[in-house]
Amino acid sequence: MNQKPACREVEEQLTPFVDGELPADRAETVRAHLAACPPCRAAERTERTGRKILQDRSETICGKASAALCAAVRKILPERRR
Amino acid sequence: LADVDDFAREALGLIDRLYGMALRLTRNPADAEDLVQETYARAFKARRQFKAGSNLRAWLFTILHHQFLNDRRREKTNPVDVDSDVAERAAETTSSGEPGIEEELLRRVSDDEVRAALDQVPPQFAEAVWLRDAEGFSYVEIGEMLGIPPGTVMSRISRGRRLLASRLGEAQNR
Repeated sequence: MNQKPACREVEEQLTPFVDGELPADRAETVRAHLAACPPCRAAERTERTGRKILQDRSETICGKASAALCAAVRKILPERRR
Repeated sequence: LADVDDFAREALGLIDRLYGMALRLTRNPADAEDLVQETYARAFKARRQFKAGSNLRAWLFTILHHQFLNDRRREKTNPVDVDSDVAERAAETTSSGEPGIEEELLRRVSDDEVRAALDQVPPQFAEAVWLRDAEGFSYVEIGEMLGIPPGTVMSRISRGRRLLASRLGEAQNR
């Protein structure tokens, strides 16, 4: 953990920063701090790693619902009028 | 009844996505399948409550979340206390920060290792990260689904990502 107040403040904003959810002025402040602070850049990389791994792998790590599950759910579908 | 048919068809089209979330929460395929079935049963029963034109995927994920909590309560399993000291301390563990290690890790890590690492992240954090990074929901949408403020959503995502990255780093260094 970084102890400097400026680092703490940046660390709290890293999640919305990497998600592009920070207002432009605050994002700019974070960007400027990161450029000058290697420990905070390391924290940013960690945040981006955790984010990217699921963005890239979510489908391959879960696989699909089995045929048996799909069939079971179809059985409880609301009745259709044919 | 045409609208009911459309609703059912659209809902069924989301089964893989619901199964993915259920697997992350329950951590085993049999329980995940039960959870998905229960979710659909509740959704079909309550389908009149769904507002046409609103987000069906978000609605179904909300039902799945509540169903999961109900199941846990019924089984009297202790839900992981997200505010416990253990979870707090675990969340503070960050990776070494060695330049380039994360990029390298992303290339080398196997799907099994990602699964195993994710299963070590407490469900509340894993759920928030999954809804954001695998499903692409906004902080506000996730907050509505889980019944928590956007600030809490953000901190759960943050902890979840850090824990995931550090577990993956540990797995690679073993």
